[in-house]
Amino acid sequence: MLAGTVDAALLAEFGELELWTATATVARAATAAGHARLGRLSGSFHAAERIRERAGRLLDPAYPAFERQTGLDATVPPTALERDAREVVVTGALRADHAVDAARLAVLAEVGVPLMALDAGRTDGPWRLTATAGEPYRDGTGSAPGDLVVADAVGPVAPVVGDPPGRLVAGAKARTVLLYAVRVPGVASWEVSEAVWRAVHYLAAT
Amino acid sequence: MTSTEPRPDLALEILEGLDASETAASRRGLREQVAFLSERLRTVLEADWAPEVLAAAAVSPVAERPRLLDLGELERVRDELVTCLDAVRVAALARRERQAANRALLERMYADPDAHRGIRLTTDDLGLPGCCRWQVSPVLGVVGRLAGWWRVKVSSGCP
Repeated sequence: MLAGTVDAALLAEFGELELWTATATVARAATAAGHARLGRLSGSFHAAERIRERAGRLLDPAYPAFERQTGLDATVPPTALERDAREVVVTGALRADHAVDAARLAVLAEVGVPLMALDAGRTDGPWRLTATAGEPYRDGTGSAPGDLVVADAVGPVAPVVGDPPGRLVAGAKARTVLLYAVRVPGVASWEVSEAVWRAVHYLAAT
Repeated sequence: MTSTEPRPDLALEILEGLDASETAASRRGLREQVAFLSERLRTVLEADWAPEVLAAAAVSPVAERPRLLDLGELERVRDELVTCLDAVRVAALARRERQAANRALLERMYADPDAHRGIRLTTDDLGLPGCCRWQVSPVLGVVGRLAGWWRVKVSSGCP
């Protein structure tokens, strides 16, 4: 597991920003183990209580505050995973389509940290948090000057908050994934690194 | 917020394009205010969790994607949060007043069922947990309706 770099300018602006990354290989047993884990979590996860405590969100409250500080509407979850996860209040079950999302969802429920996953075959480290000067994402999606992004050696690969561009996302067929999580002001560093660590173990089915 | 702290020599080109009078310290100060107001909003919503209160918490986003906001944008975020917090408090107050009025109505329903025929209240109307209903209904169905025998019937709760 690696601590990525954060541009000095962003540290000067936000203070406690960190990027934690890890490359994980998805084990064959991870899909079944992931579904079993989500099944167990569904029985003990008090989603309605957490949604009420956190103003409609499942994440640590520091993340919605950071979303507001970066111009987003914090009442709307920026990732599809969190939006879908809120349905657990109605359905009573945490569900994910594949092993990677199962690991992300388990980490979201257990730790409250948003974990993202990129197809490791489409991005090369080292990764860092930076603000773009308007250069496009790796898959050609445009960005505006000042967008806060996770960038690899070539350029931006994902926004700092929200889903990465579709072609870079680690889907059901990805065998090696880059997991990353961003520490924002108000969240302990160990919580974020543990979130990534957990997901690595979940995907390794250990 | 005012500050005379000089702007640090920032490496990013984007920051060079920002308003020259603004400083990193004032942006940091505004971000702290946004975080503080965000936490206030969360505690108010937690205390009065209801769809109408939550609806009052919606704001129009400044950006489609997360980005480094300049001083003016941060001020807009802060001001909208203040407005939003006021709207949420007003909605919460209105909800509490409505619940108090409904509790008084329930007492009147018990005191004089005949004058409150057919009125129904739920736990949500009264600000109570659970899912009970109180309804003024006739005793013995049609017979009670014709004879003017009314009573408050309490449902058995959630199925």
